[in-house]
Order: sequence, then structure tokens, then C-alpha cells
Amino acid sequence: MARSQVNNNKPSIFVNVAPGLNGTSMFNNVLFGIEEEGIPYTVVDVQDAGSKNLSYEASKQSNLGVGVGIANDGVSVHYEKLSQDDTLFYIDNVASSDKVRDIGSNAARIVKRMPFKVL
Amino acid sequence: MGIIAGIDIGNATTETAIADIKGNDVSILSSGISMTTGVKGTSENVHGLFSSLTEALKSANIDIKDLSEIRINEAAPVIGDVAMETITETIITESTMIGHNPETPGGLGTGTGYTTLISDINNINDDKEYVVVIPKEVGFEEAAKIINDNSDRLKIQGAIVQSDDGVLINNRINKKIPIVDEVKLIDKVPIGMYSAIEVADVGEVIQVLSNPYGIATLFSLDSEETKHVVPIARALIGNRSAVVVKTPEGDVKERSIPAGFVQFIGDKKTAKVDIDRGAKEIMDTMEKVGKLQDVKGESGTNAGGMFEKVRVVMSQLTKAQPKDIHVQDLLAVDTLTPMAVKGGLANEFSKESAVGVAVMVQADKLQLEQIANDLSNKLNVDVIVGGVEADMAIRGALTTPGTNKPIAILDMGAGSTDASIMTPDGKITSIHLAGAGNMVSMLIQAELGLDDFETAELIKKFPLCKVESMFHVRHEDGTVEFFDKPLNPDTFARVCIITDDGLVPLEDFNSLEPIRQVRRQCKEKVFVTNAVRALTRVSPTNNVRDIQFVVMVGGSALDFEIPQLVTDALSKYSVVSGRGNIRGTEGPRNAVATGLVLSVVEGSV
Repeated sequence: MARSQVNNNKPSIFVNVAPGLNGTSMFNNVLFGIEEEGIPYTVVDVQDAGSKNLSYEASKQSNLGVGVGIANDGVSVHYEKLSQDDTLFYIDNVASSDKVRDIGSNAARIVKRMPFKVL
Repeated sequence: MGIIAGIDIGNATTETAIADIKGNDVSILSSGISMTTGVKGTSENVHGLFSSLTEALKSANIDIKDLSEIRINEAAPVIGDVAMETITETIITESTMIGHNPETPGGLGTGTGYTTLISDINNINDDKEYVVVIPKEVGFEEAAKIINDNSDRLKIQGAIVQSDDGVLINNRINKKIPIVDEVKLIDKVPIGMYSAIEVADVGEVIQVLSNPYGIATLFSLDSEETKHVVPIARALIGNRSAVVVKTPEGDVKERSIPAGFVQFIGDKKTAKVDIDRGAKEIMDTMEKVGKLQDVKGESGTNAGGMFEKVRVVMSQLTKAQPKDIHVQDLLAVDTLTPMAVKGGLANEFSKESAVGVAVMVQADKLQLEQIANDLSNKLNVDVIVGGVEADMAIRGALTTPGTNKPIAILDMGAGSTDASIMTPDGKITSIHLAGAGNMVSMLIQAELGLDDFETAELIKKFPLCKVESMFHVRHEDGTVEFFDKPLNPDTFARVCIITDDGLVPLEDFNSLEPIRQVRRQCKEKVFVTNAVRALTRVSPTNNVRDIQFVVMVGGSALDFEIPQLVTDALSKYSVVSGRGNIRGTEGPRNAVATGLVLSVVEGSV
């Protein structure tokens, strides 16, 4: 379960996480969702600018074009081909752990071109 | 004469044509269409009739007071219904199995061992092989830890997991084992039984458990026992992962329903045929008895139940006694339908053979006079019932540019396929056959295992595409269409139906090709079969080749591929056939309604 370091050359989903959230169960469940789908990810610690903005920035850095933002408001998933306001998925910070894992799965499924789980 | 409305009540739609008639000059002003309300020929039809008429009046800008006459066709007194019965059944008797395609199973390979709950594993201390069963209460981290802690001490050969945790567990264990996850009914997995588990690599399918001899090898079965596992192996073909658990005999009971025979009563003779002989023999037997008088199914069997159901439905609709309902025609079609495997644990399905039938029932007498009276009282306009449906349809069909007598028409509706032929001297022969659009939908629903009839209808009516990215879809023919705006995430990576209201995603289908194939086959099985059958019967020589021109009309002729399938099939008999274009504007719709208003000046043919 080695978490990869920041490395722009390796294809991976970028996960931008706000201070204090790295290692929380919300954070872990997002990563478990991505892992179960078998897609690599890169975790980057950033300042909290809201999950939507974090996911947008992450999607631009990811060379798979998929970014996840984890912030105090919740979790967002963004796809680089969508405009900044079109956050693809968002769940708030009180969502169940299953939902959090599913949003992680959906981020991976954009890459895999598989139908999304219902959030 | 004034302004006349011709109205045709069909099984599915009620169509209107409005014409202004001056002397012998007929100028058609407008058309209307609406859904038929109630069963054709019953007084409930009035509502649909009224809305169809209103639509036509509105588009011609005519007030109902200006109508001098309404003509309703003498609808053929036949009603169709469809039914289906499976004739094979897969039941697991001595073993239990899990064979499904979790999207992400874990590990790789084959493992065998006795099933044991993960919570009991610390109490075990022997050198037998084990397969651990992990219910959803045990998280993947805990499960992985327990497996790792015991992997040196015990022979753990595989895992059966309830949650979607296969990859997560696999990534956390030191010794790799095959893991089948997403087993919903995990508490039904028998504990302490010998089991085999197999997971194939990405893009591959299982090889051992889908092979009867593979199962025989793993479970050391003799030749007699191997025979019993054939249905298991068959049901597991094509899966990426599977589990087979051998349980003591009698754990799952076998139940078999005899399919039964069908009896055709004709004017020449009576003949019986077993349903499980398949559609072809059923149809051949029917042809042998001459003109069909009635059909009966063996009581106490699937066949009997099927015809009894049809009789009851028909008697409710026509308000006749079930014993007075006589089947005048039958179309049987072989089909495969996915059925839940008895003894399965993860909702496994197996394709079972089934026979679908459409029947045509002679209704005693339609209540058309009653409808005419109701309408006349309501609108204060003369309403006349007149004109045989087939005659009117031919008259209407002849308004298709490029047609002339002699002409045959194929009226492909929702409930029946009708054919009629007009010879150069104006003699008309016609026939009504069971099986049309509704049967196609029933077959599509059955073969694809769809939950509802509406989805089957949509699949029948519209082409498919696959959504390949947020911005593009690939159509059936491989062409790609791009969109300016991102597509709805619900449709992402799914096969979708391209309806008039946008994309409708289909669940449970990875690729569109099998759906397309089923759709086309169902249409062929019904409409091509019926086109040949109908034209053979109306042809003066009983040979399709002796008919030169065929015009297709009716709702199903509007379909985007049925006319092509029929045209293609009939071209083998050197018949020119194509979709009608009534009055050069209406397409294949409105033939009978148009014929009705034209008949006002032409007199009878």
C-alpha cells in the first residue's frame, strides 16, 4: 500500500488534500476506492481552498486528467476536460464512509471508462 | 358532400384523415393520430377516437360543426396477445455455486479447500486446505491481517468476500490467493464444505470451473457425478470468477415442470406437438392441420397454462366466456431468456430455452355500432361504420407514389400482421396473422432479461450508442459523434438508447453489439417470418414469387430497420417491396383512414 510521491511523469490520479485531513478516515476511504479499482494515485498536501477548487487544480496536474480534492467541506472529483465550474462529483463532509469510497471509485472509473457508482 | 372524416381504430393507434369532397374531387386537408384507448373494438375506444379527430380538425382549422360525416372502418374482429414459457430450467442439486463477474475480483488462479468463517480461523489447527468466508462486518484491513497472521500456520487457498474488497485484500496479503468479492448472499455459503474457487486474469474467463472435467478433477468426481455438474459448468462459462461448493446431497431440491404439448385443431385434422420440440416443429404442425379452428395446451403443464392465460385475458377483454375464445392463428418463436439459477448464491443467471407465442383470437363481434352511436350522440354528426379494413388499407396504400394494381400490402401493426392483395380486376383477398410489434418487444425483453416492457419498447424503436467519453458517443455503425456540452455522468461508459428525449442509459450491458443483435433477430423472427407466411397465404398461387409489388404500411413499418429487414428478405423471392408513403406525405401511417375518405367517391372496388 505504498503511497506514491509527487511525480508528474507517472500516470496517476492527483489527490489534493487540505491541512489536517491527510490520514483521516474520509481521506483513507477515498484512496481505498481508487485502490480497489486498481488505478495509481498521487497525494499532494495543499492549502484548503475548498474541495471543488482543489479537485480542479489536481485534475490539471494529473496526466490522467483526473483530480480529487479533499477539504473541510467534503470531497470533489474533477475531470480536466470539464470547465472549472463543472465539478463532476461532490459529497459533503458528513457523507457515509461507503459514499466516500464510491466517490474514490468513480474518480478511478473516469480513467477506466467504466459506468459510475451512484452517489 | 362536404367535409368527411375517416377514422381507423387500430390495436395501438387511432388515425384520422379529413377530406373536403366536392363532386368527385377529394382534397385531403389533414391527418390526426392518437393512442387507441382500450382494446380495439370496444366502447372505450371513443376517447382515443375523439382525441385523434380533434387533432386532425385542429390542424385543418375546422370546427366539429362543419363535419358532415364520420366514417369508421369495420375493423377485423381479431385481437392478438403474446405469452412466453421457458422449457428448460437450471437447478443445482448437489453443489452450490457462485459464478459472477464482480468488476474487480482479487488475486489470480484456482484454489480448493473447506469453507470456514474468518472469525473461526484462529480456532483451527490442522493441515487441511481452507477457503475463508469474509462477511461485510469484517473490514478488508482486519481480514488481510487475519489471513497474513495465519498464512504460515494454515493452508488458506482462497477467499469469498461479501463487500467490494477483493483488490484491497489482495494488495494487503503476503501470499496471493484467488478472491471472489461482491457475494451478496454470503450467509448462504455453506460452512465446512469442500469448495473450489477460481479467478481469471483481466480480460480472460475462468477455464477450470467452466469445464465439467475441471470440476471433476478438483472434487475427484466419478463419471456419474460428473454428469450432474454439467449445468454448473455451463452456467459458469464466460465468468471472470467463480466458486463451487460441494454440499451433501439434497441441500437444494430439484423441481421440474413438463413443458407439455400443444394441440392444433384444424378443419382437416387435429395434431399434437411437444412445446420443447421448438418453434419450427410447432409451426410445421400447425400448417398440416389446414385452416386453424382452435389451439389447446395440455392441462397441468406450461403449455396448458400459457394458453389458459391467453384465453382468460382475451375473455376479459371481449367479455366472452373463456371456452368461446378460439385461437385463429399462432406464431411460435424460439428464444433464450436469462433465468435465475436455482441454487445460486450471487443471483447467477443461465440462458434457458423458451418458446414465445403470439396468438390471434377471433372476437365474436366488435361493438363498432355501439361506438358509432356513442360518437354520433356526443358530436351530433352522422357516424357510419363501413368499409372492410383490408379494402380500405389497399385503397390508401395505392396513394403511395409509384404503385399500381396488382398490389399486395403488408400491414405491420402492434398486435397483428395483416396482408391483402388486389388483383388487376380489383378482387381483394386478405388475412390476419398473429405476431407483430408487441411480440418483438416481448422477445427483446425476454432475451435481454429486462425488468420492464417499456425499456424493451425503447430498444425496439431506437438505435443504440456507447458513451465513450464525457463528450463523445460511438454509434452502432462505428461513427463518432461529438457534443459541445459534457454528457450526463449517468450515461458515462454505458450503452445508451438514442431516444427522441435524449440518451437513456442501460445498466448491465458492457457492449452494444449483443443488444443490437438481439433486437434485429427478434424483428426478423417476427416480421420476416410473418411477411413470408402472410404473402404465401394471400398469393393466388400460394407462392410469394408470384407477387410483384408489396407496400408496407402500419406502425411497425415506421421502424428504422424492420422495412429494410423485410425488403431484404423478400428480395430473395424477387418481390419489390418497400415502406408505403400514403398520399406522398404520410409515410406508412394513415392508409386505412385515407382509404375510408377516398371510398366515399370511388364507391366499392
